[in-house]
Amino acid sequence: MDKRTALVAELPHLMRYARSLTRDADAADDLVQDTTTRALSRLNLFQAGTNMRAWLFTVMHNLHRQNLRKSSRRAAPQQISEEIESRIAAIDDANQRLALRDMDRAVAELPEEQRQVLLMISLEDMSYQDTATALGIPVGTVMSRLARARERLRRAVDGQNRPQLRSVT
Amino acid sequence: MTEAEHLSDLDVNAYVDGELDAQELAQIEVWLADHPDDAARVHAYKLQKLQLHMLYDLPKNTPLPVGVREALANTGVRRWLPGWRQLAAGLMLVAVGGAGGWWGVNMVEQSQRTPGTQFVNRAINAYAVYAYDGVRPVEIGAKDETDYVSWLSERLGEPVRTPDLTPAGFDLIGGRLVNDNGEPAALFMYENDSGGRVTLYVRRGTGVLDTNFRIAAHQDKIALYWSDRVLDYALAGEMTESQMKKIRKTISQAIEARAST
Repeated sequence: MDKRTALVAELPHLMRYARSLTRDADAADDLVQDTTTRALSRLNLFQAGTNMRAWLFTVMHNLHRQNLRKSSRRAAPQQISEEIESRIAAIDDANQRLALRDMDRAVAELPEEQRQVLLMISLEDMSYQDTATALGIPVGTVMSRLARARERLRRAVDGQNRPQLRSVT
Repeated sequence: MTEAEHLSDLDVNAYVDGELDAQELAQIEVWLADHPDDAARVHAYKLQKLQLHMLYDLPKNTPLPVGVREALANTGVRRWLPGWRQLAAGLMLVAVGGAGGWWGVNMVEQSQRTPGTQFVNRAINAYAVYAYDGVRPVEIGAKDETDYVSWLSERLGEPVRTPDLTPAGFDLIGGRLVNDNGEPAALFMYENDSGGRVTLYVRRGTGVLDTNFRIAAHQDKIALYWSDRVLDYALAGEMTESQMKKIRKTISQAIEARAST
């Protein structure tokens, strides 16, 4: 697979991650576009055989940091997006709907540094090492942020004292 | 591990994320079998993963955002980078040559290969020449909108419809006829509240452009160009990329709205 094809294959991951990170489809699409443009222009710098996803996430995080610095683009909105709400509304089980809304709110309330780590690992299946590389932080920091994020989510959802949600896969 | 009552955070997470080697994995599984508290935590974390996917997975076949498709179609910035340098030379000739500047532009263009680049360079040059004109940026003002739009349509030989850019904060202030390499072209001028201007350069479709949006830039000037087959368009202005994106969004919505009616 050539580098360009490998890049295109990772775009769905970038889109999903960018949306869940920014909680704003427009901002996420802009971020993915900028990432794509920059990555294409630097494709010669990507070393074949290394992890394309980790590299793209690195590019994206550098851009994201710049965006946060230069613009007054506010922190991710905490309210649920219409898109996610309609996804939840389509679920039959009322308890499951409640649990998912709690989970979304808890994710929104995480400090961004914890949300990044959580989403890269839990949603995008990135290794601890790749996550550390993408964010430019030590692996130990990745692990401690991840542990804090998961405990916060667990408390947020358990705290509601709802019946346990069955795993459905 | 044997002395502790509970698994460490590190162990639980590494187990859930598949970061353990086979031996560690086996040890943890033995432990979990008779430590229901830890097993519950593992279960909770696995459930979190599942819920995150339920919440944030995009529907299958979610299309790539328009801007991403453009970026891929343009193969990044490198394809038009060499064009910038020639464009810079073209703009210098305009500045030096004054009224003779257009001749200078043609000279430059003949040395360029892609017709789309020539087109967008002319559009950026036209912006540079007219948009900075504080006295008479347009030949005919927007008061006679229908008049000059139909006049320019007649000169182009195709009906022209100017996109409404008010959602992006720009109002149409007028237009003029310009020379596109010996053929008539229309230049429409838009202005925002703070006096910022963008121009829309329109000529009869030549078949060299397709309906994808492309972007070209020269220093702080940026142009978006595309074709609807009947006409070729280039929107140029001095603006940030995010302002240009807002305008692009407005135009694509207008095009989609038109296509669906």
